[in-house]
Amino acid sequence: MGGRMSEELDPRGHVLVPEHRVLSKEEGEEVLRRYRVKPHQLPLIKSSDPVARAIGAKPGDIVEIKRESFTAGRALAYRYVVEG
Amino acid sequence: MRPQRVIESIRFSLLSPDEIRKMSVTSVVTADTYDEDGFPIERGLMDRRLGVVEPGLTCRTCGGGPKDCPGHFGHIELARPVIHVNYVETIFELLQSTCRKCGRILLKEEERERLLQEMEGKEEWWKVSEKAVQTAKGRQECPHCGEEQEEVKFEKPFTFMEGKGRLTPSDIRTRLERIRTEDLRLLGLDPSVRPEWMVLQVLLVPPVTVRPSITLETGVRSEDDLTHKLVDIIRINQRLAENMEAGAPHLIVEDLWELLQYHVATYFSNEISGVPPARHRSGRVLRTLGQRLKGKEGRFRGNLSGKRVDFSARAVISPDPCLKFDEVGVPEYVARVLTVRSRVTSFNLEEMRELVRRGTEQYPGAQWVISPDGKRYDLRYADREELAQKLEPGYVVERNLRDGDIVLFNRQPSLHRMSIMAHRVRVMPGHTFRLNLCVCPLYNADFDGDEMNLHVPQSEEAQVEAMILMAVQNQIISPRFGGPIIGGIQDHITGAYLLTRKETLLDREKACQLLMQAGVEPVLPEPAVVREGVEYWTGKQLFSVLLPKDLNLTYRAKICEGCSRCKEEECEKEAYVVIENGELKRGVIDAHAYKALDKCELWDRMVKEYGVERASEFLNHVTRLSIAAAEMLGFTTSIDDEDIPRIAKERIEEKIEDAKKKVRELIEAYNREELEPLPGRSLRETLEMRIMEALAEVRDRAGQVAEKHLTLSNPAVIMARTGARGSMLNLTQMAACVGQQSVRGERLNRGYVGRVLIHFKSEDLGAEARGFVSSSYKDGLKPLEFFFHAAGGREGLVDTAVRTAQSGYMQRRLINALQDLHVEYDGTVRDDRGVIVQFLYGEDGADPMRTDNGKAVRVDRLVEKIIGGGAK
Amino acid sequence: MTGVSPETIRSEVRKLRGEVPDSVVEELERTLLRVGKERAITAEALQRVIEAVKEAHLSSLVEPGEAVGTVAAQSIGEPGTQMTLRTFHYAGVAELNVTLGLPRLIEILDTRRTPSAALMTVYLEPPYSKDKDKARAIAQEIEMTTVEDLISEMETDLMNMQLLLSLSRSRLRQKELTPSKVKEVLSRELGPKVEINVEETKLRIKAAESLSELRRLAARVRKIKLKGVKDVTKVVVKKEGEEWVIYTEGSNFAEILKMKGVDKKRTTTNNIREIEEILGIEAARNALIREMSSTLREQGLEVDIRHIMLVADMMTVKGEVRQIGRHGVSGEKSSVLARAAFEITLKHLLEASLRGEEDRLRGVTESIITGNPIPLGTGSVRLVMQGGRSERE
Repeated sequence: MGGRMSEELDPRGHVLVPEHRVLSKEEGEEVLRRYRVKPHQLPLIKSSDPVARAIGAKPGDIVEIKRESFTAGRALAYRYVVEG
Repeated sequence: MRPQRVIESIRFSLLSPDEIRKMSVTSVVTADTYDEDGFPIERGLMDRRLGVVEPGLTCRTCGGGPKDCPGHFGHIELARPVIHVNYVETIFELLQSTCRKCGRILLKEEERERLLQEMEGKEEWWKVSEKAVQTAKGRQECPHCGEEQEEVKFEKPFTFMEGKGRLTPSDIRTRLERIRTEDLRLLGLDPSVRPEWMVLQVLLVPPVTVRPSITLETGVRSEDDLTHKLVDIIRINQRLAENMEAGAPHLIVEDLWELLQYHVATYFSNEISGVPPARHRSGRVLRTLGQRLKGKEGRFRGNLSGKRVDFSARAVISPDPCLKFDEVGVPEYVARVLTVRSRVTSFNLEEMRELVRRGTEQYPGAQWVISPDGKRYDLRYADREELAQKLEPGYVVERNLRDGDIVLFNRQPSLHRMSIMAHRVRVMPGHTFRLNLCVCPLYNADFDGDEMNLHVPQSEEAQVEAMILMAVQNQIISPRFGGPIIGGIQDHITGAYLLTRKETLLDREKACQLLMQAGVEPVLPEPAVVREGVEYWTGKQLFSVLLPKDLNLTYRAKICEGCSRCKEEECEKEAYVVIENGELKRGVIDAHAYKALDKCELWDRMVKEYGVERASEFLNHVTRLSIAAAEMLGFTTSIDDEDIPRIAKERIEEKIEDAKKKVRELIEAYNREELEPLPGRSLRETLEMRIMEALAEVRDRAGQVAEKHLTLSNPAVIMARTGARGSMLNLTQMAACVGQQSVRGERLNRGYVGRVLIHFKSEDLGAEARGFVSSSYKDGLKPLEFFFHAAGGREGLVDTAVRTAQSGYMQRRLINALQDLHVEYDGTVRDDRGVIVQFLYGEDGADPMRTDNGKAVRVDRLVEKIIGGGAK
Repeated sequence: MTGVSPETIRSEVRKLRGEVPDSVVEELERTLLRVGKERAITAEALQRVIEAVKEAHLSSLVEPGEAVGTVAAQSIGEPGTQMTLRTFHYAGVAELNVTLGLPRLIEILDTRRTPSAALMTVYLEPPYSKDKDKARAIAQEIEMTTVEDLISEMETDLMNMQLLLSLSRSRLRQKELTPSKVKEVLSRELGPKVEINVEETKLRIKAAESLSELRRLAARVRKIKLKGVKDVTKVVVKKEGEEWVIYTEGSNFAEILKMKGVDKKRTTTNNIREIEEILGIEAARNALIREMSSTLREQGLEVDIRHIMLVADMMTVKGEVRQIGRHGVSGEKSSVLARAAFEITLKHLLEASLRGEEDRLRGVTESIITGNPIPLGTGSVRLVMQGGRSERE
């Protein structure tokens, strides 16, 4: 993995890519509680997603995304990491 | 009335032969339908136990008439099993991926375990099955019993071969029977489904109600396509059975079996590739089960997703500027037929009695009376006086439509929600629906023969919902961009312009006349001018009567020419509009004031700050005032509005000559290869681009020359410049020069080799040879120009047609993909499964319709209002 | 009368955070601070403004149950009838072809793997972005040159079973290539078995055995890439503000990002699939929004960004970009009836029967089919009651 990774472009920092962060277990549960959903009812992100790989998100994690919003200035979104 | 029970869910599965027999009320054995007397034959396809369609008969299973008997299924016992065509591909996969001996899936135990585990808890478990089947398919030897596998081949449409031998449906059935239930999921089947049911032993016969026969005027009975097909099946089935019994040669039995397979297959679907479609005696292709479901007119899209309704009307529309914009004019003869359910209460008892007395004969009357016990009285036949007396609270009267009723009005294509809105009824003479012109852009309606539909909501709940959610006033702001979509159009703009420009002065009589026509109290302010003892009012003063007294607004009108230095309030063209405390001080009213889908500064403010009620009132008045003004002041346009002086004509011709010369020079430069190519373009492309550029420029130049003589004293120019209708380009094309014609964004170039028409030399690249029209519409086109113009015009027509189809399909897909999304109470957007699509709608939770052109909170306005100036 | 201090304004306004969107808080702060410089803002006025902002925010909120999906679909679909169909038009950069209007919108919603007119905007890092010649040099490096672009003539010599290529001198100069360099690339591409001779600007390729093989070889040689990035057929260097930017026709995002001097943070493509692959799903979402809104804006159609965002979000919820249509969003609906009513009716019904699928009838189409009220808007309100035993039971 190491060899390939270093060669690969890190997508973070690109103007189109918002900030991603893996939530801790507690934070993840809090999100599920707040929205009263099961993990699969969240938007998904594949574990093979370039950003997911860059931040080391594993299937089962919940990723928090800080979007620069066109309407609200900033907006938070969450994605559940799935195999793929 | 609410249904007693609600369907909660529907499960899809296969029917087992046992289930079919259990569902069936009779087995069908005779191919004949009716006897000589026209009575249905028992155990035939029209057996009365299968339900009834003709009135007067009763069903022998449930005893109901055609209205209440839903019909009952029968069945046919097939002499030999046949394959269900729609499942041949599944059967093929099953044969390939299971053992020919033990019936187990051709997967090693550990593969099986792994895949089963992967499947566990997955909503779309069949995606894993696809993998399992793929792995199992190629395996040569059964991992369970060690049996060597032979290759199974499938020959379209329904023949299976294994090695050299043929697999008959019976063989297949036995093979499928061996498949174990625990393997089913891996094979993509639900455990409740047995694969052998895909080979039919018993055929379900649908009730007569599904395939009603029709009696033609001549008395000849014509059967449904399905019945025809079933007759075929029974015939062959019978022959097959007889031959088998008689011990006929193998070959004959096989042939009949194959024939049975064909009939049963085409019964399910008549569009199988490799199978000649079954035909009617006339040669018409039969429409069997599959075809009934499919497509736009099929069961799903045609009957289930869209239904025919009662309480509706359709008529040609015509305009009526005197209606309020939320009204619809309904012809009396339509109102006589449409009814509204009115509950009798102690408050309206007498009124309802009167309506019942008038009955169906006089216009505001009633059609039906429904007593509290649910009995319906038809007022055409009932003793109306007696019924009227009997009326008491609790009765329901279906009275005729009348003024003030709420109806839904719709024009297809219904592209957005404003295509169906709630209007208030105005019953009037005539034969067309009438509507105010302000709502035309919403329906995209004109009056060249357009028709519209009208629906009458019946329950109070429906009426109230329609009024609150769908009323025209509540659609002024478009949810698409948060700005007004209803507003003045065409003459509303011209009229207002004529009224509010400074030369308009009106004496008392005229001023009062205008205000009365606008529908307001003619309370005049102080006259602006008193000349020779006569009082005069300006149009601006009259317009101001309609404005709220605390309105302050400054903006640039549509007619503003964007001078390099704006003189603002000193603008002599009156393009700088100032409204102070509800008084139009300066500037004219035009498209930028209140035209629908334009900037509409004034109107936008009215709606957003004074509310829908006040704004609607304003619009109703201002449109009538404008039209009255246009009528009073006089407004007309004709062909000589496009006249320009001879000198101008000559100048234009000069310019055109110059341009043609320039084109010739370009071509020469090109021929000498001296043309400097644009980066990334070939020489030829560069030439074309430069020529197009030059010719586009000359049209603009010619336009400019013409425009000097087209001033605001010209009615056609007034329309174009105020934004009421048409553009300056339209006018200059009429007055000066039509310009280059194009097809596919290029100059015309197709036709003969190197030339468009024979009148030119080959490879002539000049302006005239490639579709430059130097004449004006008014002067008339030369024959060749006319031809080029037609070519360009044709492209436009084709374009429109193609675009309508394409965008229609795009919209259908968008709607289908997004229709289940809704906002939840926590502000999230979810689909029907509860999957979150957005965590807060639009990321700020704002409804576009309640925003100011997309901005949820106008901070600047609020600050300015509370703290005052300088917020800009 | 003295006004409140800027600090008070700041602290008071910031209390709104979390209650109203950040953008509103920031705008309010900016506006008040600016106005505060010109005139005194009393504490009471400040509070009134803050209250007014809160109220304005609350009254702008969507109502629960609102059918936002349908409204978004209509808002994007309805103006479709007013869009041009003209595929190619020159926008922005005059020299490049761009797909515009309805075809482009359909293309985005289809998430076509290769858009009909792929286009990249390549930003450069400082030394290159400031200097026209350096930018040009990179552009030269990017632009794909094939043999076809260089030859002025190509003959198939049947006698000797060979190909004769004449290279155009001017084009060689323009592309900064030499015949020997071309030979080098050709022999690398065609393998050692092929014999290539160079005579000034003429190349002789000898390899074929039969006529058909010679023809195949000719076709192959034409397409051989001599230099540049694959698929990038045209480049244009343009000054934008203070810097030089390269626009390309044809897109190969992955390769471009690997190049030296290219700004890896700002360079983009209009191919959504490439963005998804290289920058991830969130970037694809952003790109979808940008592409759709610029397509609509260019046509002069005003569509609220919220509608476009919803479409983009729906396309990306599953972690991959899904098409609006039967191969994507519509084909993956949970309801069998909804799928059957959309397209390919029979297949969906037959599959559902084998899988024993159950339709919970929670969506719009299914509700209409079964004659139930639709679960949106006023239909989404349900009365929940404690299930008491009725007297009859």
